[in-house]
Amino acid sequence: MKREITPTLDHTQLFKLANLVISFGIILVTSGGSWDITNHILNKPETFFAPPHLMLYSGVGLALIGFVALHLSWKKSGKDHRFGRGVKITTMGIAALLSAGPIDFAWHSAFGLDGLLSPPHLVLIVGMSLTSIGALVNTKSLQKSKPSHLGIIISFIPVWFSITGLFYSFSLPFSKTDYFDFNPNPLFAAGFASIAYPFLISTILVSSTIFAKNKFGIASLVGASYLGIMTLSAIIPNHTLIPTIPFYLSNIIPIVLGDYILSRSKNSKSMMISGAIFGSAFYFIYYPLITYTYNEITLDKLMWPSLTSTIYFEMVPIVAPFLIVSGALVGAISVKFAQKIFS
Amino acid sequence: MTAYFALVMVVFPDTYQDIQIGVPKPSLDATLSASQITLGESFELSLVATNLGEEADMQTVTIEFPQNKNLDNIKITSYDFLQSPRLYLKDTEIGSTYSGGVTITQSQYPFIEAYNRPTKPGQIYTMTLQITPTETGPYTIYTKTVAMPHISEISHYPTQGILDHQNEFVKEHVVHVIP
Repeated sequence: MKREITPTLDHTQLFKLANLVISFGIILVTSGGSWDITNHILNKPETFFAPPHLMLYSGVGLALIGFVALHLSWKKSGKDHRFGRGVKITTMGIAALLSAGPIDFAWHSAFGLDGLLSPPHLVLIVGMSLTSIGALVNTKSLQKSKPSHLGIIISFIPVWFSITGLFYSFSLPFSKTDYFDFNPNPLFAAGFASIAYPFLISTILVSSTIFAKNKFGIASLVGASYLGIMTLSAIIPNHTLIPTIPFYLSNIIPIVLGDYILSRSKNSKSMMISGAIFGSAFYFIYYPLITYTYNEITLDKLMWPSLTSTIYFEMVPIVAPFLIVSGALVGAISVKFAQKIFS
Repeated sequence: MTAYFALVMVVFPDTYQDIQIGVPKPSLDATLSASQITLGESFELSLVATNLGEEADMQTVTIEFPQNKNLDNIKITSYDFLQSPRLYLKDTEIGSTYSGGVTITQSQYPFIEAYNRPTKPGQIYTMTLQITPTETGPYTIYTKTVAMPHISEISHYPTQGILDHQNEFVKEHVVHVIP
């Protein structure tokens, strides 16, 4: 008897894959961006085809391919209403990402080099953030019944990185050019960093655990990925920071500890303790760039790439005791936010 | 968490405190093509800069023209530093006292600054200037090189001599211009 085989395309599978490709693309964009910031600090010669730029362009290309596939599969599935919100956010993000290129070109033509915070860079960062948030919303809609751990990890990393990029813009003094001085006021920058970074760390790590139904290891893997990418893009390119890698990687300790507490209990108190643990480590997790933020209001030393770690560790006894406490408070409070958006 | 905070606040900072910061030692060799010229003629100033110490985040080579009002009579004929040179005119805000820009002063005369970011040990960078004095008499040029971060006295060259408008040591070069 002849059996008839009808090839069928599983639109949900394609949608899931496309969504992962988008998130992975944004991981490349943000990692390339972080590497590019380091190269700017080191003043390495910059060309259109510099390796960090190539990484960034590849990421945009990959995100675009993922977006086209996502749209096609969504259309073929009859525009499944479950994914409507995620697709809409991703579309806005991709539109912003694509428009950032010509805006950047026009800005460079008119004003030459730009700093970290500039209209084209803001469009790019908002585009990255919206695209990754849209992909995360899709992951959430896809995985209501059975969460895929890989999907959760890949979806959270670009959200963490792209929002970090947004927060960097308002807390790092890298935005003064010949035409404009968009550098944030040093006091504002330090205050903003003291609230925004612990809030972000805690929200991301607690949310990923809630998302994974309190499975131990997910927040640790998201955290380890963050530390790994930062080591590769912000520490290793500056050879004077290489000896500090063991210090930086020790930040996995509070991440694993918080993750463990989250996995043992679902009650609010335990979750807030975990949030406090995550938030309390923000000054150490945001090494080395955070040195620039707090140096301005404490030591006010002239920053050179080779002096970054010296100045950072000199500031530890001055700022860390206060920032550990304030970070813990913000981290605990942000658990409520994570519960609200992900429960 | 106690162990973690002990690590990141005590153990690691103490460990890294013992790591010595590499001190760069910039050096500059300046050669004039002539010690005397006739008004209307040009002479060349050749500069060879190197770093004999540890890697510097930045090394600047400065050529100052205390008698000039502008840089119209100066031409850069060769240049292989990593970054493009910067030209400064009189009354520009500039850094002083080897502060890397933290202490500010006003320039009193024009100057050219060549620079490398970073400067690896032993690498050589050169620049040649063609200069056409516009008046007779002794024509003075100052040269110096400074490495950043400026850690000690060996982070600049020369280490003694005349102080310029940035309150930094310079080497003087004179060409006699005859009618």
